[in-house]
Amino acid sequence: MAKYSSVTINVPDIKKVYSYTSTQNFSTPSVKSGNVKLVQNINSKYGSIFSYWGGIFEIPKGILIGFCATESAGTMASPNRYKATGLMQVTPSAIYECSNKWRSEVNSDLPIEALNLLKQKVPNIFKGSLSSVQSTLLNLLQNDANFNIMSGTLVLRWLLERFSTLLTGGQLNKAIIGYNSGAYNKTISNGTKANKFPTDTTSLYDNPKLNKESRNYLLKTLGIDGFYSIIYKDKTI
Amino acid sequence: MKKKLLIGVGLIALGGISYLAYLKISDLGKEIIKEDNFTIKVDPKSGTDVPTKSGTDNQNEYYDEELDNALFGDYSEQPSWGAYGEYI
Repeated sequence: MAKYSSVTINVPDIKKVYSYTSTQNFSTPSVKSGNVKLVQNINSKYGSIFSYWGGIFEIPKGILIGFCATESAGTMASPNRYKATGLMQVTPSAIYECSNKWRSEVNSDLPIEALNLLKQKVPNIFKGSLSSVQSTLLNLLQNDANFNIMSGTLVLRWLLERFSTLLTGGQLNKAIIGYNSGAYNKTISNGTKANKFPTDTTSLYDNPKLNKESRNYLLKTLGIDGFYSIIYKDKTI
Repeated sequence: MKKKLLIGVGLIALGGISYLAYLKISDLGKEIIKEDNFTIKVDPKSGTDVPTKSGTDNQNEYYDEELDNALFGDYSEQPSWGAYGEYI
């Protein structure tokens, strides 16, 4: 029996294509074939790790690979200026907060596999402050693909539960915004309180308060020829 | 009174049935994939780019870059999980 909220998504969920120049967009054949290769490469390199943690947190491998493609294009990227790191571009503060505040959003214990990995790799994560474990977390996020993918998957499940209602289940579109620009982004939260009111992806996209990067993130994943169309409609992995 | 109550319940039931029928109809022709606890409804039609409020580019007609930057900073300046750091 499922432990977590169910999630229903439409592919595509917004009838727009992500464009990054006036002539290049995700439907341009050369761009699309590049994106197909990208998700296939991620799958061949890390697919088994995505399947493992996806099984534990009940998130399909394809959904996670879509995040990885959008976040890092499948590279173990060095921390950016805000410390978003590696394949899933997780920050130390995100994994610290979601694991320490797991029960504030999720109606079950942290899975034992994730709990054991966190305790083994970062012994003080549940005892010390963020600053006391930050450098250890950064090092792991950058150099340990298994830890990075576990962290990104944990954060995503935490967000899906945060934006879950009985009517909708987990709202992936809000989780995407939270993953990209923080759980407390003003378009999805009032201060620290989640705005759970069901909102369709087009309305979120059109919200004038939404920052540009998160708007584009919705298109890259849920738009026409976005990563979820490539993965689930074109069945490329 | 009882009659009004019955009419109310009937209307609510009708609304519910209509909503469920709408959901079923909107899923017609879609491939339904169930994986873990996700249900992925795939529209096999390629789809066309349609204007949203934001028109043809990726920005909202209400989008004001200056305001966006004032509220959130240039995205590259925006800390993510630390944005409302008092929660951490």
